[in-house]
Amino acid sequence: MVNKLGGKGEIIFNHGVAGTAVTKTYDEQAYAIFRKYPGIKIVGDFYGNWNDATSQEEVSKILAAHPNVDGIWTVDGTYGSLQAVIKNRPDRLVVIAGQSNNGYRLMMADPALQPKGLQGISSSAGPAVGGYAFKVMMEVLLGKKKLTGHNVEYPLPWVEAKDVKVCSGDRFENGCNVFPEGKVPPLFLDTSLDPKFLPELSLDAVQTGNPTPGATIQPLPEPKYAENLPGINCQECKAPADALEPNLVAPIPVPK
Amino acid sequence: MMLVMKLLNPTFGSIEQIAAILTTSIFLVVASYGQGLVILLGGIDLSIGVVMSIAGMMIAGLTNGSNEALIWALPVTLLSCIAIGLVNGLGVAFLKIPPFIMTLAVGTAFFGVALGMTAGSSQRTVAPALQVLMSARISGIPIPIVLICGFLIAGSLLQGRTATGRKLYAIGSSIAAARVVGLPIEALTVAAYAMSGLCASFAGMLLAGYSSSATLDMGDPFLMPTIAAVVIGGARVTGGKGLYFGTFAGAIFLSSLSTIITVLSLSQGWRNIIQGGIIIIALILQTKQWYLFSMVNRRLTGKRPLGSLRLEHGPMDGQQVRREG
Repeated sequence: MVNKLGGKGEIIFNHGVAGTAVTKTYDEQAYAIFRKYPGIKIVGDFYGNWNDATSQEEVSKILAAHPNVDGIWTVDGTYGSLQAVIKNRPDRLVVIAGQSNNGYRLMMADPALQPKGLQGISSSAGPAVGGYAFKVMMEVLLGKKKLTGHNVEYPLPWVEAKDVKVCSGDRFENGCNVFPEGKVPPLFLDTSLDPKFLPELSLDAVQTGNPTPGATIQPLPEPKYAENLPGINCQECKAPADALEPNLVAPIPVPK
Repeated sequence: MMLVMKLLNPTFGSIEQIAAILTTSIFLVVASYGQGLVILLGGIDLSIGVVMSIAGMMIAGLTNGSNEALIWALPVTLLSCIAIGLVNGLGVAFLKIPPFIMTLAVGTAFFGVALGMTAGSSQRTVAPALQVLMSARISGIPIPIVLICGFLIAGSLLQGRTATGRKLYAIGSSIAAARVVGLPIEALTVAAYAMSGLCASFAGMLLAGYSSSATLDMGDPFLMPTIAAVVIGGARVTGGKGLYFGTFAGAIFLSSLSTIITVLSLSQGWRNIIQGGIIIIALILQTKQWYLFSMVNRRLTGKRPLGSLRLEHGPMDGQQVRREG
C-alpha cells in the first residue's frame, strides 16, 4: 500500500477488534512500515470491529473532516470502508489494503473504478485455514505425515487487481478466485475456498457443509513451519529479528 | 461541534461533509425514537441492537437482491420486529418483569434464534432499491436527510400532539394516577415496546441498505447511543418527561461527537470513557436541575422536603400541575 502511495499521503487506519492478539500483531506490523515513511500521515483511525457497517460509517465521518484521504489500511471491514469512499467521493478513490470479501475483489478489478484511482490488494487468512488444519491433523493421525515442528503455517492468500479472475462454476478452478456478482453476497469471504490446499471444496460445500459430489480428499504438500510469533503461537519465545520486515514486496525508498 | 470540526480541519464545512455526517446519524435518529417512547413510560429497551441486526439480516435474506421481493419482505420484516417488541411489552406489562431484564433476555433469545438460522452473516444481498434509498438524492438533497426531516415531524406529532402520546406521558409521570383515571396502561405499554421494535426494524433496514450487506452484529454499536441520545435530549430516565426533539438533537450531537472522536484518533479506551461519561454527566446535570428547582420551590411554598413535592410541566402545553411525587 505504501509503495502504491509513493511513500506519502493521508491514510485511514481501520484496526479491527480492540484487545485481540490478531489486531495487536497487525497493528504492530503496519505501524512498523508506516513509521519509516514520514510522508505517511494517519489522519483518522478507529476500531471497525471487523464490521462493514461500522467501518463504512467511520470512514464516511473521517472523509467529511479529511476530504483528501489517499489510502485506507483495513483488516476486515474492507468492503464497507471502500463503499464509504465510493459513495462520498466517487470521482477520486483510494489505495486500499484489505480482506478478501467477494464484493471487494470485484470492485478491485472493476475497469470503471480503476481510472478513478482505486488500487487494491486482497490478502487475508480465511475460513479455509480450518479445513487446512483439519487435513494436516488427519494426515498425521493416519500416519501419512510426520511433523517435525509444532507450528504449521498456512500461506497467506495474496491477490492483486491484475490477478482477479471471475469463476464460471462453483469452484475455484483454472486460477479463478472470485464469484460473479449476485452468486454470493458481497461480504462472502473468498478465502473460504483454496484451490491449492483444499481442491475438494465447492461453494455449496463451504456454505452448507455438504461434501462436493465426486470429490475425494487430496494429499497436502509438505507443510511450511511457522516462525515464532509471541502471543500468537508461543508464549515464552522471541520473534525473529526481521519479524516486522515485509517479506512479499520490496519496500520503496523513503521519498525525499 | 461544527466549530470544533473547523478547528481540527480548516477545510471542513462544506455542505457535502455535513450531509455525510447527517446521513450516518439516521440510524440513531430512528432507533432512539423507540427508545425514547419506552423510557417515557419509565421502561428501557435493551433489545434494540439485536432487533436492528435481525431486521437487516431479514431484509437481505428475504429480498436476496430483488426489488420485487421488497413488497412482501418489507411488511414481513416489520411485523417480525414488531412481534419481538410485543413479546417485550407483554412481559413488562402483564408478567411485571423489570424492563431491563425482560428486554435483555428477549434480545439474547432472539439473537440465538437468528444465529441458529443464519450462522451470523447474511448469505444474500440487500435489495438494490434500499441501497439506492440510502445513497440517492432528491433535487440535490440526499434522501436520508429528507427521511430524517419527515421522521422528526411525524415522531414529534405522534409523541406530543396525539391523545396516545399524552397518555404515555401520563403513565410515565405517575402510574397510580394513570390507573385512577382509567388509562389502558397495559395496552399502551405493549404498544410502546412494539413501536420500539418497529423503529429498530426501520433503522436496521436502513443500515442494511446503507452498507449493502448485513451481519448479525451490525446493530450492536447502536444500543448504548440510543439510550444516551434520549438522556442527553433531556428526558427523565424514570419516565414522564422528554420531547422527541430533544432525543433528535441528542442523536445528532452524538453522531457529530463520534465524528470528532474518530477524527481525533483517540484510543478505544477513551472513546468508551467519553460515551459512558456523557450519559453520567447528562444524568448528573438533570438531577442538579431538579434539585435547584425543588429548592426554589420549597422557598416559595415554604413546606415539604425535597422529593415529596415537585412542580411539573405538563407535556407540551406548559401547564403546571401539582402532584405527589
